[in-house]
This record gives sequence, structure tokens and C-alpha cells, in this order.
Amino acid sequence: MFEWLVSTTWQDALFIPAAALPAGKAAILPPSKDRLAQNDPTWVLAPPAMRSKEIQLGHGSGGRLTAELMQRVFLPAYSNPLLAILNDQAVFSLDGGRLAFTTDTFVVKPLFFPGGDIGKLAVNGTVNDLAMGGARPRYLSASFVLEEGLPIDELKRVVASMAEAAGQAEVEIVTGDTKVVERGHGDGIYINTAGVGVVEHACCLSANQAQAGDTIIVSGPLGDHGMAVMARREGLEFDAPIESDTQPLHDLVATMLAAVDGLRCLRDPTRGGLATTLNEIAESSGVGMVLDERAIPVRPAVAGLCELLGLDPFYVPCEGRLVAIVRASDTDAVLEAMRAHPRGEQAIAIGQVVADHPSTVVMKTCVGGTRIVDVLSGEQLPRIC
Amino acid sequence: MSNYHESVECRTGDPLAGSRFPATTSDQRATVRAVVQIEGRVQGVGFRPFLYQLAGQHGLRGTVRNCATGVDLQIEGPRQAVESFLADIPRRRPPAAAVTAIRHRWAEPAGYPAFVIGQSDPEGHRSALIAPDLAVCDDCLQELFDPSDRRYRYPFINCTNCGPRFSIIADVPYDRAATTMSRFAMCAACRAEYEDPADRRFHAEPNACSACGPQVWLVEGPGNGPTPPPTTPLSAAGKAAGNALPHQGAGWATPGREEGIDAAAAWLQRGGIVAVKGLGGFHLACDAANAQAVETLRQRKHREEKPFALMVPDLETARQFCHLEAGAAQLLSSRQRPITLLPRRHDAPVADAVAPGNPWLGLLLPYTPLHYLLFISPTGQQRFRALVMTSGNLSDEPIAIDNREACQRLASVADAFLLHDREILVRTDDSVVLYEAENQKTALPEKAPIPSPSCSMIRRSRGYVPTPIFLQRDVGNVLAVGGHLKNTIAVARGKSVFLSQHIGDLHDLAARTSLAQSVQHLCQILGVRPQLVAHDLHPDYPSTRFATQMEGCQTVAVQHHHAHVAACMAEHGLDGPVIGIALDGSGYGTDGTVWGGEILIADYGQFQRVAHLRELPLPGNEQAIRQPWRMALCYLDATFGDDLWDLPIPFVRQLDRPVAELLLRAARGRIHSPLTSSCGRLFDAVAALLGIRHTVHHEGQAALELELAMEAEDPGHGSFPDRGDLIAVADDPPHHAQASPDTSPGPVCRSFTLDATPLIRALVDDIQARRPLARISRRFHQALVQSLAVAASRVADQTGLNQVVLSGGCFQNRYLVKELTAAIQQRGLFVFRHRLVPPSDGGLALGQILVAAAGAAAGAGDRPGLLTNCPARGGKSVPGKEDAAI
Repeated sequence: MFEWLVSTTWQDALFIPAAALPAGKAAILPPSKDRLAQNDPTWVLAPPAMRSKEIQLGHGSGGRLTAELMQRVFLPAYSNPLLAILNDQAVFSLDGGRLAFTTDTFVVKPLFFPGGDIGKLAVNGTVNDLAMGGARPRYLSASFVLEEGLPIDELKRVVASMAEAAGQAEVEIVTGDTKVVERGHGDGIYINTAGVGVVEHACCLSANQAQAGDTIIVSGPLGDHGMAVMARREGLEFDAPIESDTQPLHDLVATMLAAVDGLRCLRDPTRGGLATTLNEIAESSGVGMVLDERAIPVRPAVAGLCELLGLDPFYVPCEGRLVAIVRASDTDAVLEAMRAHPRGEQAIAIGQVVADHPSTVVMKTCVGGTRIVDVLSGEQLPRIC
Repeated sequence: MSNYHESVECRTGDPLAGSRFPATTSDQRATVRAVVQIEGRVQGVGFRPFLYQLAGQHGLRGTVRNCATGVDLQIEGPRQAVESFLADIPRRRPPAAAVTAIRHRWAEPAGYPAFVIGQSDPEGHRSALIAPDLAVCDDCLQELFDPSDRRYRYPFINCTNCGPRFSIIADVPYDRAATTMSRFAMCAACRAEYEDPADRRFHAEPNACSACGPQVWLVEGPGNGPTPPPTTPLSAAGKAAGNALPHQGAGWATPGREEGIDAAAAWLQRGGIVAVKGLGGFHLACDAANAQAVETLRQRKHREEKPFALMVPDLETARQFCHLEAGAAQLLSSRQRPITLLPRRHDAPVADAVAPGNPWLGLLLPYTPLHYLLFISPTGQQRFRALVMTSGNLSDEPIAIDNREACQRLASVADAFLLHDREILVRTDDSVVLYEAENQKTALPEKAPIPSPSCSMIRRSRGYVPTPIFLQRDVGNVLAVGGHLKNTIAVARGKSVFLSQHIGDLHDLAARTSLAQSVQHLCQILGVRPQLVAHDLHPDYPSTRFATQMEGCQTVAVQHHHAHVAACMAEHGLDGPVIGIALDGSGYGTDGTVWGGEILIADYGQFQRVAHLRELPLPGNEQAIRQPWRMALCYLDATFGDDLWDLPIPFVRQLDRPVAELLLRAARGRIHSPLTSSCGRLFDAVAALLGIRHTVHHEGQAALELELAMEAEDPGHGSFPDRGDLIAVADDPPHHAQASPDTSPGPVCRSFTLDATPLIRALVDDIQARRPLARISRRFHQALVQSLAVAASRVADQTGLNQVVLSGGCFQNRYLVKELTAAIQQRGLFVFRHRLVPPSDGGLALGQILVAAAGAAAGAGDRPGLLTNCPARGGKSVPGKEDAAI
């Protein structure tokens, strides 16, 4: 049924099964190609961005193209209810216990950057994905794809850093794998980690749980990680370097869960940043969101580099921050609990979930406008004239 | 009046052409019956009373009714009289009417006893043209200020010749029930006028008086204070409007009617800011002579430098502000009443903050009775020489149209709100036109269907919308969703394209909601269900998203500059291929770079990018558009390399060196610095280099100031020889993908690049030599004009094409459009420029319609200019094969 996925001519890829499209999102056309026209009215013209036959860098941006890849390639093939929720982790019951399970692959240039390295990232990333499901992380796997010629000392540094991070996050790395690819076929080290955690409470934290009236909270300033890596990679550093925010958030989440029972959803705004994460939650829950531009915390150094490069810090990834959607009446209690924790000292409410404009996130700007916070296809390109 | 506003009439044919006379009616006195269909703008403009009276004059009987295509007429009497009656229809039509077709056939007499006006027929094809909103007419003004008239000082006086139309119409046929006037029941006196075929208000759908119609009232509150509660007028508390609640907050005075207007005027006289609900939305008003009031308005509205429009009570007063030629006076007092940009008098009695440093002023005359009542007191005194009348919004969001919404959104700006309860259905901003002095008229070739008027459109909205643009070809039912900033949409029906009102900048929630509503509304009143939806190639324009999410439609992506060129071709009825010069700020190119200084060979179906400005990095993306100094830095880098730091010019000395070096590193490394061939950015760079402006507050600001710099005093009277070689022309390598023959719509042309770095070098020399700013600016403009003219004739020589089309936002530059037109004409080519729609993105949707329709008509694969997918960013795209599947 999903021939288009393996088709070699890309005219075929123009058409996809109607079932692969999100509800109400596509134009249904009478397919003009003979093969498709044979009494099969369910084939439709794919939306423009899906019509390219090749993977583009934008497919990995975390933006619209990534979402489309999920919707059209992976979801139809792996169809199951756990995957369909599209949370950062799957939470399920096994032999009476509730477990969370997740995996993530880490590709970063440079391997070492202010505030961290690829190893620390690989542990914290997976730990945080488990934590966002409300789980206490327990065991991790680590798989390495190494490039021929990589200095063993560099590998040792990364591995040591992973061990230290695992200690901090109170997890054990219990299994792993190593592969080596030819020189020029990798950026030194790629790491995949998978993780298992235990859910020890009855809360259901999920992107589809946000309700009108809820408060939107962030645990600290945004964009540090993305800008730290970019500044180091492109040699754009001046004054004191920006440090990555990578850190484990499992104990902060535990504190929040202990403080209130009105948590609806937790997310770490990694790829695509706060803007993309909030859009995913809004879409998933069928709600709108209104943010207050002035309330959203961004460090001056991050804001400065973003301004220079014309980047919107709300799209820049973080690796040690979380976004929480919280029942309004629990706002103060959860903020108090977060601020008492070293990893949430700068927690702040940045906006509200609303019933208006479903699936749309807007921002009240400093000059009183109401700007829409879009999901972008990939890299930002100018839209103004 | 400049005739292009009424282009509808240009196509009126001989009403009798093609009619078939039955042999039995050769006797001129025999009684015959004609069954007549009249199409065009014939509803809501007094057409049926006109026919009633005309029938009476000819002694004829019959019946007439509105139908969805226009009016259906049955007319009976001696054949000679019927014929002369029919011939009189287009000749003597009411002033606001336009007739596009009269068709008739002969039938047996039905024995009508008289001429009667029948019920409207809502069925059938909806081709009746809806009238735009019309400025109050002289007859109504007369009554407005006649103390013995029953509508003396009634702010909603109107008749079939004037008043609200498009902004209050929900559906066709145009009847009161389909407008926001439906909730006002007419009193006996109004009804009598409405039903009397001899009356000027016969079937004037918004007809009303103070006894039965809408009311005006004032809500007062402190500026920057709490949200004032919307209220109904005291006099009309019983019939609460849907958008106004009858509760009254403590401390809010609510004078009704006349007192409300006078109280509002008093606020203005005291230097206050009043939000005034108008025809298509709210204005923010203040006394233009009161410097403090104007400053306060700027601060509260967060509008730093963009000029404010001024409303003056009459032409006589307008002459105190601006130099007014006869053509300008006509434009100002036309029924459309646009904001007209005019050269300012040096002694204009206006606060500096109205239009800081700008040698032009935007004037408009009052166009609603309410405006006149604000200006003229009950004792006949003129209260103000001019009022600032700026859009009722904060910053650049869409203007408020609803009472409650306005009171909330503008609470921090207005001291008082002058409200009324005639609901505005469609937000229609004031239109803006640029007057061009009579001697600057551009001669067009005889072939051009539309004579040259003396103005060009900046924003086409109230008064012009929904007058269609007529095409030479039938394009079917197509929707185009426009661009991103200054968005307008367009709906095509057969040979007519209906451009929407100004919708605004689509990053704003209200504008995006308005986009969806406008698509729905325009399709509804036109009876069009689009099969084909055209959108821009940019994958992240919200309009692109909107189009691709529409159900049941085929979508077509149209390259930005191809759409610009096609829009101008459509206006002039050209089929192409033409040489299209498209100059603007930015548009997504087929190669994933940012285009904006383009020469295309184009027809509607396809184009070849034959030349463009040299590509430079746009450092920091949109940030480089807000900060022109960044492009100046890139141009210097491209011209001088690392030597730029040693240039002894103020621009370089003023740079923050560490920041500039960092930025340059990002630019050279292409980090968030996409390549651009934008001409708008070249203007930016030069403006920054000359120290005119390093950052901008609104679109095109630096370019405009660079243009205006030419008008400053130049004591030396020196000028440079015209040198086209300051922008170097270099052939692209032969294998260049953009010259691929199978993507060319016509003769193939070797593609080439225009490199402005020699010009930058010359300008830097001028700056070092401390030449006057005016002269350097002129030199830049001259060099640009000369090189573009050289490039155009080069393309013409290679291809044999002789029609050159100018489009894109840069052609709002008066000097550029005038001089480039002349320079190209000197080379024996024909030049076509925008007249009916703005050259900027406000006219983009028109071109999108034509390109999409041409692609659909051409069918499979052989029309490669049509792009149906978004190519991979960064990779070269040779569009073509993908069309085969559609």
C-alpha cells in the first residue's frame, strides 16, 4: 500500500494514500497518472514540502518538515497507539509496573563546547526525555558510531564525561555497541542512547493534556545550548563564552510532581526550541496559547548573539530546560517548588493556554501587537520585504 | 477624475450589437417586448430607479428586478422607443454605475400595465458587480447642512449615489437584508423614500434617518487608563447592537448623537486623541496643528517615524498644505477619496511630528457625513484646519472595526471613542495613491488599453475594492492568496479579477484571521468556488500554509517575481513574452536564495531568470532588513575586502568594530546569511553608507529617504555624466542552470549578472571628496537607471522582444520609475508600469492568478515556469518534470 515510499521515480512520490495525511489538511485531486487512477480514489497529491524525493537538512530541524516526515513515513508504517501520541517517550505498563522508554541520537559539531560535550548531551538528553514522562530514569544504553581516525583520547574524554553525567543523573549505562565508519563518513562521534525509567505516580503527563486556562511555565532562560554550540562552531565568540545549559532534570521533575497534582504536560524544548515545542502541544491538545514576550527569559549574551545573527531565541534549542503546562490553580505552588530547586531557580510563568485560535501560539509583543509564533519548515528565511 | 478608476466603463459595448430582430417587428411603431439582461456594477447604485425614470421618459412599461448577474429587465412599448431606451442605458447611467454587458432578445408583448420594480432573484450565477464604498455625494451634503432638512446633521445620510457598500455587504444580491443595515427597521418617512421610484433614495439599501437608523455616541476615558466599557447610545438603548453591550461603566460619560460629535470635537480641540469609527474601520484622530497631541499619538501608538495622513475639510484648505495641481484636486475629491501623497508647501501649518523630514504629505478629504460634522460645528464654524487621521491600530496590526474590540485594543491610545452602531463587516483601510505631476505623465504605446492616469497606487483598498481588473483572457475560477506583508488576496471569475482590500502583515493574528475571512467573503459575494489556488513559492509564508491547507483545491506555487511581472502584464493585457524588470526587497527564488533584483523573460506560464544583481550574503537574515548598515558592510566587503576597515569615511569610523567583524565572519561563512540579489538591499546599503539611516522602523524607509535626499539643495549644481558601466555586466558561465533553454518562455537569452561593486567604489570616492548628499544620491539613482536600461536593451537585442514591464516595490520610487521608463523608451522599447494595482506585494495576487491559470490551462509538463513543489533549499532546481502529474 505504501509503494510511494520506495518508489524510484519521484512522480510517484507526488501521490500518497489519503490515509497518510492529517485530517482535513490536504487537497484531494483526481490523480491523473494511469496507475493511480485505476479505481483508487484515495490517492491524493502530497503537500508541496512532501513532494521532494530526497531528505533535506530541514527534515532534521524539528520543524514542519520533521513533523511531516513523522506523519507520512514513520507513523503509517509503525502504526500503534503508543507511538501515535508523539511524546518524547513511550509510557506503558509491564508486569504491573509503569515504565517509560525512549531513545535519542546525538550529532553535534563541535564535539566539545562550553558547558558540555556530546557525551554529557547523550546522557542528559535521554534522561530528560524519560523525566518529561514523569519517570525516574534507571538504565541507559550507549551506542557509538566512530569515524576512522578519531583520536582515542577524545573518545576517552567523551566516555568519561558520560560516566560522570550518568552519576549525576542517577542512572547506569548497562549495555552498548560500537561501530566504526570510514574516514569522512562521520563527524568523529555519533552517539545513540536509549533509556528506561519507572513511573512511580498516577499522573498522565502528555502533550494532549493542555486545557484552556492552564499556565505555561519555563524552568529558566532559553537558547543557551544552541547558541553556545553555534558560537563555538562558527568562531562567533566574544566576551565571555555562552555556556550550554545541558543538565539532567529528573530531580526537578520529581520535586514538581511532589508539590502539585495539576501538571498536564512536561517537555524539554530541544530541537526547534520553545516555539516548536509549544506549537506541538497546542496542536496535540487542540488549544491556543498566548505568550507574553516580556516575560520570556533570555540571557543578555544569548539575546545579543541571536540579534546579531537574526535568530529568534524562541526557536533555539535548550538541553537543560523544561516547559510545563500546569493547572492555573497550581501555578504558584509549582513555581515555588521549582524555584527552591537549583535547576529551576529562574522558573517563570510565560503565558496561558486559551480556547481561542486552536493550534495557534501567539505572542503579545512589547508594542502591543499579537504576533503568531509559527512552526518553520526548517532554517529561518526572510519573509519581510 | 482620472479615468482609470472607472475602467469598467472602458469595456462597455454597443448594447444593440448582435441582437436578433424578428422579421415581424419591422414596423417601428408596433408594440414589442425586449427581455434584457444588464451586467456590471448595477446594484446599489440607483440603477433600478434610473430605469424606472428612463422608462417613464420613453413612455414604456415593463418590470425590472435585481438578480445575481445584475438586473433583469422586461421593457415593452413601440419598438422605436424601446430601442432608444436601450441606447440610453449606458449613456445616461447613474454616476456610480458601470455597465459591462447589455443583452436582449425580442418577445411577444406581455401587456404590462405600467413599469414596476419587482422582487430580487437570489438564484443564478453571481456576476453582479458590488459597488465599492462611496464618499458622501453633494446632494446629501446639501441636506446634511440644511437646518430645514429632516436629516440635518444626521451622520449616516446617504442615497443611491453614495454611502457604504462593500464594507457592509455580506452576500449578493445587494439588498438591505444582506447588509449590516438589516437590523434597522425603516421609519415611515424613510420607507416612503425607499419605495418611491422617483426618489434619490429609492432602494438605497443603507437608507436611514435619526429616527430609525444608526446612532453615534461618545465614550470617554483617560488615555492609558482602564478599558472603557462599550455602550449603546442613550437614544437607542433599546436596540443593542450585536457588538455593543448596553451596560454603562461608572465614570464614563456617554453623550449621544450630536452632543457626541461635539464632545469628540471638543476633545480634539483640547489636544486629545479620539478613536473615530468610520466607514471601513477606526481612525485615531488628533488636531494636526497641535504638536503635543501629535507627539502623544506617536508615542501611544508606537509609531516612531512613519508619516501620518491628514484630513482637510476641503480643497481650499488642502492648498494651504500642499501644492495642488488640477489633477491632484480631482484625485482628492474623487468618489474614492484616497489618501493622496502630494508635495508639501514649506509653510504648511502642520506639526513637525506629522511627517518628520518628509517633503510630501498624505492628504485626504472627508468621505463620510460624520467626518464633515467633526469639521463643521452646528454654528457653521470650521473647527480644524486639518486632523491627523491615522489607522486605528497599534503599530502595524490591522485596524479595529468593532466597538468592543476598538475600546479594548485602543484603550492605551485614545482619550475618547466616537462609536456608532452600524456594523462594519469588511475591514477596509483608506487607499493610498501617489500623485504624479502632469508633466511627469509617462507616454504609453497606443496598444495599451488603459490611458495613462496621473497617479500610482500605493495601497488599493477603500473606494477601489471590489472594482475588478479586467483580463483579455478567461482564467476560470482561481483564488490567489498573495504574499506576506501588505497582503491582499484575489479571486478570479472568468475575465475579471477581484483584488481584495488591504489585509495587512500576516505575522499578526488578526491579519491572519482576516485572510481566512476575506477568502470566504470574497468567494461568497462573487459566487466563486475556486478550483485552483495560487500561492507564493516561499514555504513559510502563512499565506502558503493557508493555501496548502484548503480542501478540495489544486494548489500552485508561483515564484514571487514572476507573479510581479505577470501582474503588470495583466493590467496592460499583454500576452508576452516580455522583458520583466522586478525590483523589490525579497522574494523566495527557485534556487532557494532570496531574489529581489531580477530581469526575467516571462509570459504567464513560465519565465527565465535572465539577469540579476550580484548575490551577496544577507547577514543575519531579516535582521539585515531592519538594519541597513549590515548590507552596507557586505557591499563594502565585496568591493574592498579587508581594506574596508581603512576607508576614511564616516560609515566605517562609526562601526562597532568587534560586532562588525563578527557579523562579517557570519556573512562570509554563510551563517544565517542567505544569498540575496535584492535591489531593495542595494538601496539600503547605499542609504547606510551615506549616513542617511542605519536602522529602519518601517518597510522601505531607508530607500525612501535616499530618494528624498536627491531633492535637497545642491549648491554646486554639479551632475555626473550618465554612466551605465558603474554597475558591471558579466555573463554567467554557459552551463548556468538558469539559462536552460527548456525553461525559457521565448527566445533564449544568455544570462548575466549585474555587479554594483564598481558603483559602491565610486560612491565611496564621492563620500571621501565630501560631495553633497543630494548629488551622490542622484548619481546612485542615475547609475542604477542607466545600467538597468542597458541590461534591458541587451536582452531585447538578443531576443527581439520589445515590451518591458516594471514591477516590484522598488518602483514606488518616483525617480526610478520615471527615469527608467524614459531611458528604456529612448532605446526604442515599450515600457509598461503599474497603474491599477500597487507595484508592491499589494498587487502580487493578481499576477499569481494569471500564472496559476496559465499553468493549469497548459496542462502537462510543457509549461515549466509553473512550480508545483518547493525545491530543496540550497540546491538548484530545474522545475519541469514534476508538473506532469497534475
